[in-house]
Amino acid sequence: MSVWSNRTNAIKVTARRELLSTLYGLGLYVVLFVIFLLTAYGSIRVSLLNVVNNGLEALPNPITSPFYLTVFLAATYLGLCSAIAISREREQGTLEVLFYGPVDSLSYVLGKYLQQVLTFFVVLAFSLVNFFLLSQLTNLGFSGNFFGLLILSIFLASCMIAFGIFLSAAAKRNIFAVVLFISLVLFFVIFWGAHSLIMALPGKNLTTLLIYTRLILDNVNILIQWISPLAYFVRGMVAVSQGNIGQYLLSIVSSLIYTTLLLGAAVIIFDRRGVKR
Amino acid sequence: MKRPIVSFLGSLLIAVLAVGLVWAADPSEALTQVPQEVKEGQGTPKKEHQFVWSLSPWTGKEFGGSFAPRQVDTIYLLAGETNIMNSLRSEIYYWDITQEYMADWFGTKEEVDGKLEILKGNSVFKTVEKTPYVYSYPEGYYGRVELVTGPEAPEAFERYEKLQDDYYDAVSAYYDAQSKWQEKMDKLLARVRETGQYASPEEIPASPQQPEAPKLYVTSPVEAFVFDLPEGKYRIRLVDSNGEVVPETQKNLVVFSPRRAGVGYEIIPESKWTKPVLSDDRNQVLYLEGRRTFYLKPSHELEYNQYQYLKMSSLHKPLEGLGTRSAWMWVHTEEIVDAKIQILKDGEVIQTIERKPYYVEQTPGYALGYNIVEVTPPEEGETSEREPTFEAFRIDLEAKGKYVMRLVDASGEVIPGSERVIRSVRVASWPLYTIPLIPLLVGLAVVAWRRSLKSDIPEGMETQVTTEG
Repeated sequence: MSVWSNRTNAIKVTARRELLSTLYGLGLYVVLFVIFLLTAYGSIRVSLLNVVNNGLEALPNPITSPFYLTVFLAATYLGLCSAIAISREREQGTLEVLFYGPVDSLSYVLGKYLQQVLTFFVVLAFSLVNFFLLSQLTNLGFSGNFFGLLILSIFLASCMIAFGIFLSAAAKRNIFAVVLFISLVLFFVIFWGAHSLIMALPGKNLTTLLIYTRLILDNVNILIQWISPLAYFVRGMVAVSQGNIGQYLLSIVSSLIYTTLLLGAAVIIFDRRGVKR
Repeated sequence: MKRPIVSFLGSLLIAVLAVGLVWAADPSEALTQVPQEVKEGQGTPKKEHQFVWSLSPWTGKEFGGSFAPRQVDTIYLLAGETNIMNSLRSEIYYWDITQEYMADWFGTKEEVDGKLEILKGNSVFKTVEKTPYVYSYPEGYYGRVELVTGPEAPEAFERYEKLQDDYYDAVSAYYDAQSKWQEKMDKLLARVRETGQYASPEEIPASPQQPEAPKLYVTSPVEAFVFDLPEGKYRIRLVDSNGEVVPETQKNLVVFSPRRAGVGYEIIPESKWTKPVLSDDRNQVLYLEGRRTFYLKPSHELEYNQYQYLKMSSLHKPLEGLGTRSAWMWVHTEEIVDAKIQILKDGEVIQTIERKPYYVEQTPGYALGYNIVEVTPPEEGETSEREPTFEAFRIDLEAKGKYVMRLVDASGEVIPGSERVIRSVRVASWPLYTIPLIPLLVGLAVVAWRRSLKSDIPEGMETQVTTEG
């Protein structure tokens, strides 16, 4: 057997075993239940109440935002799982044992990545059913760009998973990988929220402090757009809403480059540091 | 590997803090670009005699007014639109209360002669000479504006002056005629009082008609650089008659285009007529609950980069638009009046609505309340028409399911970007919380199935089966 066929086989076996392990456990289903409940209560119900209270509302499709929130939370969960899994296996010494067999850094990283991406397809299937039923029940409807977002979300998940794998490869201790991943994702989310909020403020009569804050956030945003996996999805989302196919494809390609770079970096780190505890 | 990441994040944090600290040293100066010497003086800011480019950029709906002082290095203009610039010298100062540069135009306003050179790269792209221009308002000062340039500008102004002169002559003649008519009427009334005999209708003179004031308004002609440019980055400068560049006149020029065009709606719900809702994006859906009446005022709209647009319209306000380079804004340009709204259900037009005038009348009594009524033309015997509060398309919909709304022009063509989906919502709380249970139920079923498989395995064989699985 050639090196590549060995690798392919190792990737397949790792991904399959891990996927089945995830699907046979209750964790993923509980997480999806919590996410769906949160979005139904916190987002869809609020939109419906607004329409009822005001009689009329002009909104972007209220199914899109909760769907976006769902895929983001699910992708974060999978990214976190990746971060935990690799560093835990290193801490427990499992990784070392595994690498005595026909597994190398590349096949291990790709196996882990593939497993999480396949898990995300399961998440998507559940999300599709959940939001289809909700849209039918409330008559909120699917927007025309929903399926564009659906495809885009796969690349968001890909970025988040690669980000988690990269951090876990870089971190020596499990706790450090987890804390770093959660902190960075929280930072990206809070930054994105603050940036969106301050941009939505009417320009007239802003205090100097707010203008100052807006200027700093807008400048830092230039940097964040390249680091944050969330930013790649947001760019694609904007392209979808504008029907800009070129930008949409660019967003997908840049997500793939981001994923490749992070996975490549993870493989290099594994090779340089080794897999010993 | 922990160290490089920590040091990278640490460096990033230090860099951000350093930038913040530099700005924090004097944020107002960093943000406003106002040198301290211009700010000096309490209540009476120090004026600086300097060259400025006065700007009347086309903003999409009107000609704005701003200027580029020495402290500003980049001017922003719309692509493919006629813009006006002039080279002047004035006393410039910074007014801290409203945080803007001001020019003492009434104190000092010196024309600086020369030609405007527009450079793209290092070569001259266009040379513009000063030309006279006027603003013409055919429907009155608050109506739409037309720009008249070249030799036609003074002619337009002369026509306006003649119209005004004719009007004043007509008014003068009217007052003379009115005075004569009043004289005749006084005599007639005196006779009626003396004789007690009513005058016959033929004897009563017709009252003179007051002449109608012309609506046209034209500004007096001014000379300036009038030009339009395609999208791009340029440099501009003023060149005197010797071909020398006039000092302080070089600026960067950014000419930008809209990202998207469409139709925006101002939606006035009958229940809250003072609180209109805006729908700028065609991706927005109009959600209704129950039977609703609302009024639509559609406008053409263009989406611009917020920073560029605000800098274009308010360049003399250094804080305007700061921190909005990544933001976009819709600008409503012209209200759409000569169109009809169609409501479609399952692809079939079920309603066609015309634009009509409406009047908001308060209900009698002390309690609050109002009715929105259509303004109809005056009937015979009625003297004057009621002035409408607004003109709009009235939509009354018992929304059931999904509808599509769109605008069609006089030739029946759909106006691009005018489509909006209308949906009625169904509000039911408990099913919202039952649907999320689906993954949990699936998960429990999977776990139960796995347990049932395990229970089928003879004791002592679990490890083997697990390994094979």
